[in-house]
Amino acid sequence: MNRESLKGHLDLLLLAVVGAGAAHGYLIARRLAEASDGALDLPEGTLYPALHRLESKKLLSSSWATVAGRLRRVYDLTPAGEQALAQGRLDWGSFAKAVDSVLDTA
Amino acid sequence: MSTSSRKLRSFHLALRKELAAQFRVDPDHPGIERILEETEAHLEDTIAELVEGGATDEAATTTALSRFGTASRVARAYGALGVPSFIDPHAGVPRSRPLLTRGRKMSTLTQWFSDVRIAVRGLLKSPAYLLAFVLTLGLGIGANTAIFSVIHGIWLRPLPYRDGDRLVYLRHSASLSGVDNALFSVPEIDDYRRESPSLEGVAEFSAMPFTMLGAGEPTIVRAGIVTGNYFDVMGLGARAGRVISKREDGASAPAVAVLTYDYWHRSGMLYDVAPTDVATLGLVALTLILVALLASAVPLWRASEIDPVQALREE
Repeated sequence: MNRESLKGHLDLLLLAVVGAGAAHGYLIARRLAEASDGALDLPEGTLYPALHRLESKKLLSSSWATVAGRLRRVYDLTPAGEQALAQGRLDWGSFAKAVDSVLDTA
Repeated sequence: MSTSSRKLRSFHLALRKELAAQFRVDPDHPGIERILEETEAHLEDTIAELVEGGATDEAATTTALSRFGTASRVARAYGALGVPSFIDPHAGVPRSRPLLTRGRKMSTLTQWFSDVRIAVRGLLKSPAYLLAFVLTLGLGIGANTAIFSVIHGIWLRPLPYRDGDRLVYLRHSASLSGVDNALFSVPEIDDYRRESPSLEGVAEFSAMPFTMLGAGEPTIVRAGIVTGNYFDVMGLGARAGRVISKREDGASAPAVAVLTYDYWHRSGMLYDVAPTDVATLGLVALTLILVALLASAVPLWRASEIDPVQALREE
């Protein structure tokens, strides 16, 4: 899998990971690594600028919460984030379908 | 402090510095504090997981930091993805100066004093630059003053006569003869007096050298031939005696002269001091000797401070 392609869809991937359940930064990084099977090998620290950008765009919200006895900043989807995730899924589906159909017929 | 703690602390310091530079805010900005808290929690979780997997504390710390990325890499990612809204409430709007300093905006005066302090410190650190700066400034101010003095003397300052701003110099040319500043004839001057109501008075002046006899060696004296109303038009009076008037005009008028102050003094005295005034002359000589002694005292003292052997070695 092309790693650069994945990086280009980082916002959508993060929305999807958080969409699976509210999570703090470390958990998001773990989920992303597992879901992409290690293909998205960005330095974990660089996920935070992306998370903060999504928060600035009001697609994610965050708050301090106690997770396993430790205080962590937990991210969750906002209604706008849910909408953006749904739209992202649709766009990706159409894109993948178009690419698939071209590859199948060519 | 353990090696792991030192590594973590050093990383946090570096990240704080990089983020402050990236966001152009104070390192203690609450937004930076939030990022550092999240970073600390992330590294704590990573280290805990690695230690649980059997790694030593130090190895786990090294791996966690390596997976997290360098401080500059994280700061660069913020540069690429934009300033978070909790750092800059106007994220995305270009700004020319830091929005926040130590959590509050600096007043203009405080900012100004801070700028002055930094400038002075910077100048004191590089004396050569300071010298060049002072010399340039001094030369600039000196040149400006000199130019202004000339302009003031020529154009702005009124002539040193009564109503100097109302005095005009009449001249005419004879272009066919190639004369730029031709002399006036008596009828021409009469015409000006009669036909120019805007001129309150017209006085004449003509320079002429005379030979002075009967006062020691004969000398050439530069004199001006003037009309009787000259001193009245120019608004000049006499320090002693009287100036000439219209009564001295005409063919039958007696020959009179007005001495200039300079000529009057040159002919007899030097700066109001007569050659016979021995006491004043002696006092002046004594003052000059004293000044000369004082002027040589400083170089003399400096010379006494020099070690001749050292001076020769340097040569």
